[in-house]
Amino acid sequence: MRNRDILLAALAILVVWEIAALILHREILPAPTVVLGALVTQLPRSLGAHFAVSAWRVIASIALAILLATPAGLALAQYPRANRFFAPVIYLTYPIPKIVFLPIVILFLGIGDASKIFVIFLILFFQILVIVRDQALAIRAELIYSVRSLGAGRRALLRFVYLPATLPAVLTSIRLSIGTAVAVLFFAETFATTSGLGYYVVTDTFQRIAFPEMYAGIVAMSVLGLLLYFVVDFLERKLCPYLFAK
Amino acid sequence: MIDIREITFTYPGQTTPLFDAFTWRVARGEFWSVLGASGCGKSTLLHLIVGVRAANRGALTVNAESVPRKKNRGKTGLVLQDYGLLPWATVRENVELGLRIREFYGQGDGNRAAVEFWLERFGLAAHAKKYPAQLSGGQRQRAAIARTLVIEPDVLLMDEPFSALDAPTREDLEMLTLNLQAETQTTTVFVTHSIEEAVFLGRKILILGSPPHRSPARVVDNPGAGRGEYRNEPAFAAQARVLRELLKRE
Repeated sequence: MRNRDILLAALAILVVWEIAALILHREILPAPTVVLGALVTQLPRSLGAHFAVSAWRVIASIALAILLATPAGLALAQYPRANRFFAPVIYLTYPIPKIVFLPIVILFLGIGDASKIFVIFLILFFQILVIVRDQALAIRAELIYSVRSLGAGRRALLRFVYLPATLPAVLTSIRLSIGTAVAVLFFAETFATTSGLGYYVVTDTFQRIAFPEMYAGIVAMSVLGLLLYFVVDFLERKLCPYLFAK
Repeated sequence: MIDIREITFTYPGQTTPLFDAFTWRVARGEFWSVLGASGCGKSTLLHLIVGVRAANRGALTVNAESVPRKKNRGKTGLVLQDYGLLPWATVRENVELGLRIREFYGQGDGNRAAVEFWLERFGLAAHAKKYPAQLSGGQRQRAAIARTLVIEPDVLLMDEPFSALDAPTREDLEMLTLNLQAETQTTTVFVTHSIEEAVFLGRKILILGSPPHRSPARVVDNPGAGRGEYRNEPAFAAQARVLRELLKRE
């Protein structure tokens, strides 16, 4: 898949949208050109600030999840006894939709950034934890033996084997979680807050019946998800070039 | 050089030991083949020598140091059949891995000239920027051997390193191994399930039948090994026949 193909696909979606807007001819579906106009005028005003707040919340959650889940996953893989203890706990808590804890999290952490970051973090943490643990457990014993024979102890194994071996899995789990993370963020931002794209779309523009601005907010939210997706792709190409070697 | 005295080793959860008061000595500069069927404990023997597994009883020293050799990290080289190279590292990064590990522990900067020397010597210089998946099986094993030689091991342990290769490549690498051993005089233990390979390479051959392995170890002298022509001589075929009979009796 080349950049040109992606651009063409984006163009095709815009064309379909434009045609649909023309046929429907109703206020509730403004044409992409109108929405683009709203986006350009709203960005320097409030939309830009809401975008920045949402981006900060989701990026902070992802960073926090990677920083805590990676070492935890590696530790579970290294210490079978700990894994035996935690595996059933993870099994039980993994399928629980973490978003239902939002009211409780707000009670504990308040209505500021912390509660939103924490809820997204909860979702990502378990996904990354499980994937890092399983990936680390799947490393072949032969690879560990041969690197140990070169003088590696536990720390060097972590640096030269475990971290690079689990990196692609971490990136994949983030890529798969971006959609969920942005969706959860959207929901969390419609809840007792006055900032973020979720607030902008649902509370600010939707309730004012400002449809072009509302659509501009939806586009901004989609762009946020897409940008994160592109960043993960970029990181994968930079950090794991061997996956792309032919 | 390798001194194994009455070691006993049982895999966790099993009742019969794999090695039961087993004793075996390898002198400095010797080239040994270890011959046995799959699952007889050949690889485990190497794992015990390299120190990734520990014996339940008995003493095991390499160069008079007890195993695992903490003071001299990375002096026992291990080359495996496959899966030994880091898939995410280029050939050069793999070959210099031992040096990077030493630097990681602050044990001086490694000798990068050795990396270039072995890459060149093994015909890998042109492939230095490739990843293992982009190499042929033979090139991968050359890289694995180069990586081990860079750390200047005093003992080289090879665990069926060529068994997944096609015949011409295998014979090519067997010859390379013989030449290297003649040049560097590194004490070498070569584990294989192939009778021909064991006879071609090892001046001495340790035969491992069905476990448990006890003392005295069954050892066959093989003075003809060490020359490329040996493979075509009648003595080679005769020696292979002797070993085949011995293995059957085990």
